[in-house]
Amino acid sequence: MFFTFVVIPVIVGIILSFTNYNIIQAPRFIGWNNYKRLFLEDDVFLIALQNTFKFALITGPLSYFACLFFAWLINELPPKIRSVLTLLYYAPALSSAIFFIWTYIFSGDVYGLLNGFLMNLGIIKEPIYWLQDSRINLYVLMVVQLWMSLGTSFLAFIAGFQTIDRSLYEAAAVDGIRNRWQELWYITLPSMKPQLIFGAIMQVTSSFAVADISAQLIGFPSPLYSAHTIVLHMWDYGSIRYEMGVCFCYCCNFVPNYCRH
Amino acid sequence: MALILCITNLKVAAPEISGLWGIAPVPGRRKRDGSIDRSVAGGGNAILIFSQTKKLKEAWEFVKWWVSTDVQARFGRELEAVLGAGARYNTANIEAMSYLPWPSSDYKILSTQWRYLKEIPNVPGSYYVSRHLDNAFREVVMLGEIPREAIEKYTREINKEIDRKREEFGLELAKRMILGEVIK
Repeated sequence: MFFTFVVIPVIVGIILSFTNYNIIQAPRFIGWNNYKRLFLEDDVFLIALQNTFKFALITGPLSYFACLFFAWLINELPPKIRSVLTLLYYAPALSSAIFFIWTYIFSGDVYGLLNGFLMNLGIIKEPIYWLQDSRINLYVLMVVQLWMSLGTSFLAFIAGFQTIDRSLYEAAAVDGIRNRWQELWYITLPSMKPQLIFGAIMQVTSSFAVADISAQLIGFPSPLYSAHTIVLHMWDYGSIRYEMGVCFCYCCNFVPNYCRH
Repeated sequence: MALILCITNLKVAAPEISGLWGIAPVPGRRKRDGSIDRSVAGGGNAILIFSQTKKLKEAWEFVKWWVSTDVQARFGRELEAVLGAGARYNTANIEAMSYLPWPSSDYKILSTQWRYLKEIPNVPGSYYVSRHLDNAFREVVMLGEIPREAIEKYTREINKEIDRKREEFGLELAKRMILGEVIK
């Protein structure tokens, strides 16, 4: 199973990255040309790389700490409220396509929710083109991505909090733990180390692989490639320009995406 | 024409404003000879027959039958009879269009506008044309770029992609002039 579905596709991908392959005709070997193009000619790739790293560096850690914080917060509540809140926080990740409602919130005309709200308050005088303005739409996307990001790792954290041995806290209280912070720092976090590491990997890889949100909210390709990410760039080569060789070449150069492809 | 879809939608879905709106030809630019250029971009669909097929003749007969005025008009009318005015058939047969139950004033305007419909030529790599025209427009409107500069910049990008595709398909590369300078 592992061999068929993981190893072979990866090897085939690496081989195809040295070819010129358009799906219809047989691949033609062209050596390092795809790689040369990728590193020397493709300006859009640089934009995509930059955007992807912005996502990974900003939304990755932020969403990680948000997950941890909300999981911790929820853990303090009585069980019934806890399950309701868990559902509420997890709902955006559960119903993945529902981020479409943000097109209404961030709509670029005066009828958009956020524009209307800010204009009523008198903060802005004319509507802001949230999703189409190439200077800000990446940050708008980050907000949506953060909203979406209370996903698997959030659940893992909640599970982690639940499985901690209660007797540890009692023992610690005897040993002289004075407040909740010390409890969190010395007992809670160390005992859920596996969940924390799992969460970190999940959050960072998922922010490396941001693509659908950008394509759905801003459009594909986004204006001036302002919200272009690596995955979208591969999508462009793979499904619009039918250059599988280039597409696989990008894949090979972007290891975290093996998680998705 | 996407416009027709919009008209039927408004007509069927918003009866409360019926009679308060109408259609008119797209505003355009007056040309030197006094006529108005109302060009809009549009597209069409095509029917194709694969050359390997065993029933080449039958396929061709079928295509001819399907696009004929009578059949298109009948199909449009029957569709509308079953599904109502919301399903008005958007036929590409101009003659068949005149047999569909459009109000005559609307029909006149639509057929006027029809003459100004221009399709973006489909060449290998033409998906880059609309994409970068969009980008050029956005750069000018949003970022205040000079129109001429934006067009020049993206023309280069588009030409690059078209060249790449022509190379891929083994077609001859075109010599192009950008601002008097021969590229390639």
